Amino acid sequence: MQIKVVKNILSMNEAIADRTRRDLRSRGITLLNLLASPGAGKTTFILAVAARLAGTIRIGVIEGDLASRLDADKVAAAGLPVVQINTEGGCHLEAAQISAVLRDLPLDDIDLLIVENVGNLVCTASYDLGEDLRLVLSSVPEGHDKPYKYPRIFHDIDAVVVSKTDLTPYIDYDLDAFTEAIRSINRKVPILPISATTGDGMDPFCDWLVGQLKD
Amino acid sequence: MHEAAITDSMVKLVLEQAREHGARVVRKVRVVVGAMSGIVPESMRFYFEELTRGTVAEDATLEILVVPTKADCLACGHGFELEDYLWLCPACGDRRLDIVEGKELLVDSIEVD
Repeated sequence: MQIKVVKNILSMNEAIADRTRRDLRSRGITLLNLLASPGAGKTTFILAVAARLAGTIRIGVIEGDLASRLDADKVAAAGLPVVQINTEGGCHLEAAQISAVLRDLPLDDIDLLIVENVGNLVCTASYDLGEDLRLVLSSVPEGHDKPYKYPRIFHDIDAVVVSKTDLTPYIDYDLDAFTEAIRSINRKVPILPISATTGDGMDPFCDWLVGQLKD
Repeated sequence: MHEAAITDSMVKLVLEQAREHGARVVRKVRVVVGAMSGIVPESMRFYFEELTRGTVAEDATLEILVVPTKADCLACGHGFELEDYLWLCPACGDRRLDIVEGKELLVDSIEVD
């Protein structure tokens, strides 16, 4: 007997993600899933955004790493509520892991919850965590050809942030070539270059972000 | 790791369907995988064999249908399959494309007794 199934393999993950999205929306919290390769500057970027929006937007953070509490400690030292998830070898975060740690965060005091996903440009793209916003952070040292090599991750996203632009004079990197590569995959997505070190581009990014938040 | 987690979800879905239909044994599983999803079929086969051991799907054949990445050219409207991840329109050479297929990750059907 043949049984027609036609179900998404990740339908279980998506059901949990949808529940998280509903729960957080009802509390007025925006969930942001931050994707990047290891070393792109995710934690530094989160801290720079939080510093700029201090007093305006209350930010909480969920850190995802294979091991260690290094990132959570950095974020906690900046005075932000944070939870660390260790995937113990897992290469991405899944919706169930996010929903399980929500109770460990002071949700009544958070407007924007940022998930720093495991550093990875492949599997993280397939897993909905219940986010309202999905961002890819792509750093200058990674090169401008990455969208051609990892197209999937650049497809369904709300913004691409180009980080470490202060390193451009030292590296063979062409922002126009990067933009052309992104446009071949995603014609509309905003591309926002920043340097967390010099602060260049941080104000336009924060303006864009605040414009995306739910009331 | 990617294939391990995805195949684990896939096997759970197959076993759940088999149970719902009162199947004694699963003969065949057909999945649809988009070329852009980053799944290596051989790796999925390896994990499928491991993860079905001792279940009703132990002897099932896994059929993986790979859907190529398809795009429409925004400049000339030409629809085509992307070969070797070459991101340009074969008709007019433009790079502005709209991807329409290739991200699928589905259990299409199962055959059971």
